[in-house]
Amino acid sequence: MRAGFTLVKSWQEQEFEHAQKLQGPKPETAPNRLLSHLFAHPDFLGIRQIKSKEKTINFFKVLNKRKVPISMLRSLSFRSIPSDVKLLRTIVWKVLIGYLPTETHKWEPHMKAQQKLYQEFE
Amino acid sequence: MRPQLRPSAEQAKETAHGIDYGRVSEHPLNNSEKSLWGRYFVDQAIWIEIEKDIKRTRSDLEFFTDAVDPSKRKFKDQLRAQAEHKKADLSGSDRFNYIETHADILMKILFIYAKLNPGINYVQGMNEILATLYLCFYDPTTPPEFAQYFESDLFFCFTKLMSDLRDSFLRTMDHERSGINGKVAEFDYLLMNIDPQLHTHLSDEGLDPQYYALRWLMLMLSQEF
Repeated sequence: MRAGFTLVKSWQEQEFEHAQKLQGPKPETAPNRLLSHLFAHPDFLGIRQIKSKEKTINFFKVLNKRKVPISMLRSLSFRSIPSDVKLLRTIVWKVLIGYLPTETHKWEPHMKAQQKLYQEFE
Repeated sequence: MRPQLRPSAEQAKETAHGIDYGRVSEHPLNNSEKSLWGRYFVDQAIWIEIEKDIKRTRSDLEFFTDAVDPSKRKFKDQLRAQAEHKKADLSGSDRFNYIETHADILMKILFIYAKLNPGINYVQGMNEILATLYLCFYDPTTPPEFAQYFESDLFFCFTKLMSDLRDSFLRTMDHERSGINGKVAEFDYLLMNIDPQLHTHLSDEGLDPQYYALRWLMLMLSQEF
């Protein structure tokens, strides 16, 4: 009996397995390198709770666009941004504050240009 | 980053406006705004103020006094010496082998912001906002190709944030609606309407919203709440 008992998975394990089945956007479909890095982040793959994973995926879907729908992102963020993947928070912050442009393909050139400007101040 | 100690010959010529009192106007005791020495002392004053506040920023966390470069985090004694003394007061090897800490980046950003926005300059409280932003952005797992943008991203996001908040930081705006007193009054009005019982209790106790709400609103709840 005892041996059979250990074969039964705990509900945490079951939940983790279920969470692992939930798929976010594929990294190769991301409109820029930062987002593809985010979609393949180890912290994302390691999320154990279904709810957190679903929430995070919702954010990923909103970001995975040529032009981020800012009002959608704002209403999604209003009830807190999940913190399982820290990088998500920093990206959403930068978009909402208006630092990163809504056009996702412009992110990298923008960051590069701003870095150059900053280095001139230094 | 630090202001130049001695003006270069070229700069001295520039301030003298072609008139030959360059030598006189560059006397260290000349406190006119045009004098490079005058500017140096103003910069020094800003720097000292920022450094004083940064030393107290989130001192509950060891994070900010730690080295930016993970390989240097093992030099605990030196990092402690750096945290306890002003940069200018360090001596000998501590000064020579200075390790850049997270606090140094905060100071650098605040100093650049103050210099680029002379109308606002540096005001106490900005350090708390920037520190919160820093903690939100800092992520050691970021690959180096994106980690290189960390400081400039932080600076420009801070600038964006401050453009919304600047009115609360300006003394001259204190009595305008967009100034800090206007915001506190608005908060008080909202509280009165939403929770009249609490509002009456607070005012019976003589607790003016200035005492608690001012910091909340000015610092976007970054210091205490």
